[in-house]
Parts: sequence; C-alpha cells; structure tokens
Amino acid sequence: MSGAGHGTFDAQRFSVEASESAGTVTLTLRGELDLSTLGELEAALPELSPQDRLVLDLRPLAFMDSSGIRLVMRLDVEARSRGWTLTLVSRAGAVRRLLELCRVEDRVEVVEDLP
Amino acid sequence: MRADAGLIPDNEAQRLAAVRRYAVLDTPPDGAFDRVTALAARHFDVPIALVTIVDTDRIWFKSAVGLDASEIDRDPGLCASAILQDGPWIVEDAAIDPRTLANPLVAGEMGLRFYAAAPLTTHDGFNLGTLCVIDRQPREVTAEDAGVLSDLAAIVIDELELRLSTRTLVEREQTLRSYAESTARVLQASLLPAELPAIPGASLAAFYRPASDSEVGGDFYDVYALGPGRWAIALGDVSGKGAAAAAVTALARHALRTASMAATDPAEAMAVLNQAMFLGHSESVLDHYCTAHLSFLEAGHDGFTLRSASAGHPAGLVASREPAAPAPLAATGPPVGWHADAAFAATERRLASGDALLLYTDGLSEARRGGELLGEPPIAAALVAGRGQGADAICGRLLELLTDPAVEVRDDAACLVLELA
Repeated sequence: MSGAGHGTFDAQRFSVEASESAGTVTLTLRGELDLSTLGELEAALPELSPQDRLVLDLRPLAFMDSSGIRLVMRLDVEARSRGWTLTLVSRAGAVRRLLELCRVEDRVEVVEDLP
Repeated sequence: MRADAGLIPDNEAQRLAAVRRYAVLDTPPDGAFDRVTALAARHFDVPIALVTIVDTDRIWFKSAVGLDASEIDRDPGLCASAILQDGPWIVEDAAIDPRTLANPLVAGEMGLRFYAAAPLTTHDGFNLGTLCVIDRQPREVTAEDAGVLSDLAAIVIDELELRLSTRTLVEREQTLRSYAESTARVLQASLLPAELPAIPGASLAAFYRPASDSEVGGDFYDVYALGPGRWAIALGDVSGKGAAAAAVTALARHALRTASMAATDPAEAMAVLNQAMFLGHSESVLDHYCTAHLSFLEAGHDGFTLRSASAGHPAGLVASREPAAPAPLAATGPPVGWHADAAFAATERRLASGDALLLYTDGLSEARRGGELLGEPPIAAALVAGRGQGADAICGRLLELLTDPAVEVRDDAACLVLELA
C-alpha cells in the first residue's frame, strides 16, 4: 500500500476504476476518499442484484476519512437488506487502521487480496 | 423654507413614508440614473435634465445633467407642482404660462422658460419626484415626447423598485442569518456542559469549535460525577450538521449520561446508546450515526483507574512522564447507529500523577495544512508539549493548531483534556 494517511495535493485527488465479471463488480479506489470526493465513488456504484458481490479494492487508496466509513456502513446495510455481498480489500496502513478503529471486520468481509 | 400649502399632496404623510422606504435621499451619484437623464436631455435636446425626489422641504436631485446643484427648496421648485399630477406636467413657455410666470426660477436669474416632467410613481401610487427636462427657451412638446418622458420615468421607478427589493431581500437574509446563528449558539450550548465539574487531584479543560457560525454542529463532550470518587468523561461526533444532527447529538449525550448512571461499565452504557439510536427503527437507517468515546474514571489510593469504551472514535491518547510517546486507547466497538447487535468492550488502565488523557474529534485530525492532513502526530506532539502544565495548557496548544492561519478546518472540532496533578 502506497500512502500512509497523507493527503497528496494534486488535481485528480481521487479516481474509481470499475471491472465486472460473473456477478462480481470490483471498484478500485485510488487517491483520497473524503467528503469532497465521495460523490465520485457514489456515482460509480453499480446497481446490484441479490447474489451479486461488490468488491471495493482499497489497497491503492492513500486516505479515507469518516465519510468513507459512513459509505461502507451504508453499503453494508444495503447489502444485508438486498442480499448481495460486500467485500473490502485492504492491507496494513492508514485505511486499514480506520477500518479496525470502526470494527468494520466484525461486520464486513475484509481480505488482503482480490478474491 | 416651508412649502406653500397648495403644493402639498393630500397623501403627503404616506408619500413621504414612501420616499423614506426607497432610501434614496442623499445617496451618491449613480450611473443607472445618470444614463436616464443623459438620454432625456439628448432626446429633448435640452441643456438640463433631472431625476428629482421631493422631500419635506426640498427637492433633491438624484441625477442632474447641466445643473450644478444637488437640491433646491421645495417652494418654488416646479417639481413640487409636477408631483401633484398623475401624468406629465408640461410648461412650454413659463414666461407666459399663468402657472409659472411669477415663479422666481422663471422671473429670476435662472431664466427658466421650458419645463416638462413625468412623475416617478411607485407601484402603490405615490409620486416620489420627477424625471424632468428644462430649457432656458420655450419649446413645444408632442404627445409622443410626453410618452417618452413617461417611459423614462418608468425606467427610473423600476430601478428604484429593484433596489428596494434587493435591499429588502438582503435585510431579510441578514435577519434570518442572525436568527440562525443565535439559534445555533443556543442549541450548541445545550449540547455542551455549562461548566466542567471539579475533579480533586486533576485538571480538566475542553473546547469546541463549530465549522460554521450559522449551523449547529454534531460534536459533543460531557463530564459528570457518577458517585463519590467516580466520574464519566464522554466525547462524540454525530455525522452531519444542522438541526437533525443536533437532535441525534442531544440523544447521544443524554443517553450516555442516563446509561452511565445505571451502568457499571462504559461498554454497557455504549451498548445502551447504540440501542437508543435504533428506537423506532428495526433496521439501521443510517440517517445519522455517531462515533463516541466514554471513560469511567475512579479515584483510588494512588491515582485513578480509567475504563474506556470507544465506538469507532479516533483513539484517545494518554501521555505520561515516561515514556515520551503518548499511548492510544484501544478501539472497542463500531460506530453507534450502524447495527443494533453491535458488541462493545472496555479497556482499563491506570492513570498516575502527571498523566494526561486527551479525547478529540476528527475535525482536529482531519484539518489540513497546505492540503496535508494534520493527522495524529501534531496532536500527540501538542499533548506531550503541554503535559505537566495543566489541562488548559494542552488545550491551548491544540487550539493553536486549529487557529494557525495556514490550517484549513473543514469540520467541527472538539477536545477534552484531563491531567492528573
């Protein structure tokens, strides 16, 4: 994982890349996810059917703030009510520490590599 | 000079109130009106054109082309006569017109011979003054010319109406803003303790800085006695802002207070708060959620015992004389309001003489300096640097971080510090 919770100051602070195969949509998040970039991620969120899986690859993410956690919580609530699965990919670093702080692993599958 | 009684309209008191309403008297020159007088002078090919406002005792010129004066007395001003009419008032040759031949402006040095005016009539029917054109030689005015004069007068009144409505809007906005600000202040104050209790052998300090003056924020802190030698210390951050967030903030603060009184452990109280967030909902709606920290502090023979539960909140820090680096308190549960069956645990540690506990919200750690997040290091450094001089000294250093002009604060920030003597 590249960043360690430091904001980098560049024009494109955040980007999302989507790929899809066999009912699994993978969103790869890069840069900084905060309130000002959350909209870009929300716009990229797919329509999911029951049995689908949404994978958020957070490994290239340098920074995530509480608005990222809020989104994870919202996705978890949605996934449980609609029957799809949410998986987060994250390794040691600032983002993983925030996930731990919020005990996300008690509720959402967090893995170190793409499933 | 008092105006001749014959020159006073029947509705004069209301008319003067209308003049005051537009707040135009004695305002500086203004291009919008100067363009209209210039246009009028050009159309009528006269040396003088005026936009006038008829005040109690004077005729004041909002715009004057070809006349080096800013006002004249109401009597003998011809505009005083012109505003008595509903339409244009035209004197083609003042020297022979019985209405004006004795007027000092006509008979005297001014030598006025031609005067044509259209009243500036407000939407509610008051004539504030005139748009008038003046010459020192007699002239003829066609019906079409009179129509042009009325049209130009209508432009002047439209401009005045526009300014009035803009000013009214701005004033209303200011009133609303100041109301919102005072409401936010009162509401915010109700979410924070009026004063912190005295804890023998320790000093306490706290601050709260809202990101906005007009909107109540979602951070709170609280310190209260649980019994002899026992206190609770709480700090939290409700997502969102405004009245809806404030309602959740009030719920969080008071649920924690009430639950703390009955609980033997802060984790129990945190679980009660989590349940409270779901009252009325079977599932999470996540309209608001809250991260929070709750510690129970118990005085012992040698220092204090600190039991802490956290709900997804930035880790509290404890600084001691040794080692130099502050130790974070462990995370023990998820944010409250996420899922109803969340489990919370508590951790326990001793606080000895000289130890300082810092709780803060992410408005502090997520402030940015030159685009870079502050993060925990400068917060820990402020804690270490201020430790040993009382809780106020630590709070002061943390506040300096936020008030640094190079630091951009995007969210509410709250801090609570306890230091053992």
